[in-house]
Amino acid sequence: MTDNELIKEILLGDKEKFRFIVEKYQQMVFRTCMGFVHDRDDAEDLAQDVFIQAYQSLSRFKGESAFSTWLYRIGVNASLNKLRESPLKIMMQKFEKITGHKTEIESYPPVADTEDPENILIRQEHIEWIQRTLGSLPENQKTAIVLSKYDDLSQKEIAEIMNTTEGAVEALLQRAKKNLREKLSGKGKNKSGNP
Amino acid sequence: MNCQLCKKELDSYIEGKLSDDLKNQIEAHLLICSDCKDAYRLQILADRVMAAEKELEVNPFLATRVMAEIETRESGTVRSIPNVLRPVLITISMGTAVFLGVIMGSIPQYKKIRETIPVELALIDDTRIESIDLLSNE
Repeated sequence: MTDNELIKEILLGDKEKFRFIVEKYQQMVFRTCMGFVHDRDDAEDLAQDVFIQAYQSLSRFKGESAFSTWLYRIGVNASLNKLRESPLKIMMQKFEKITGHKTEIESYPPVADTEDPENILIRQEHIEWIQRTLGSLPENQKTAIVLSKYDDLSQKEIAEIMNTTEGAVEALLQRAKKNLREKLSGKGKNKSGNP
Repeated sequence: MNCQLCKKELDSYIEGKLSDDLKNQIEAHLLICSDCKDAYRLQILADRVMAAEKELEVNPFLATRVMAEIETRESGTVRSIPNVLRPVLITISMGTAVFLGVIMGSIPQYKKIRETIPVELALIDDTRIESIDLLSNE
């Protein structure tokens, strides 16, 4: 059954069919959200919000683009909105997670059991810094780099999602890579530690 | 090969998109330039961080969570506290708790305590060690 057929049935009242949509696209949406927020719990909450938003506005999907493109747009907008939230709200949300929430940085990149704890700390510090550097990019550059690096989308697909031209996406990606390179090089100068 | 060109081509080098000649020049430069080598290592680490995040598997119960949430919203069971109000209510609760703590802490208790202190205890001089006989009824 195609996406459009599923959507038609959902709109006719068979809402259980939406489960197939979620199961088909959950990894894609989660991966995109992860690229923006760098935190598994936040990415899963966001992915849930994205699917609920998609469900609620399903009647507005006209089928002019692929369903995945439409879903990517919702995912990108939800992620950017999340990142725009005020620091106070973020702090309150963290406060609600009283149970010692931790990011996933322990799991990547792989660290050997025999590695010096100091090196592990330096590595974790670098990982957090890299996440912050990615997060510090302008929104459109960040969107382009996430869709390119996390979702492996072509410039044409990214252009469709971002409602722009392929040339503009190419320029955005170049600028994003340059920005990252400069910021990372700056870090390299400040830190003589082993990354 | 200079540092500017090396850093500019690092992306393409990592992605294996360079000609053999340029690739060799970059490798030779990385051997002698610690600055570019650090930049190269950080770029590799950045790629690994992104690759590792990309490989994370979504919670297999996400679909169930989404369907349950949709069911809840459609059945008219709304959350008792809207999301927007939650931070405000938490802040108000914390403020009230602190306020009550301060009020309760400042309620004078000493008069009541003083009234019930036995005469023997009132005679004790805190700055000196008193004889234990003072407290004895014998």
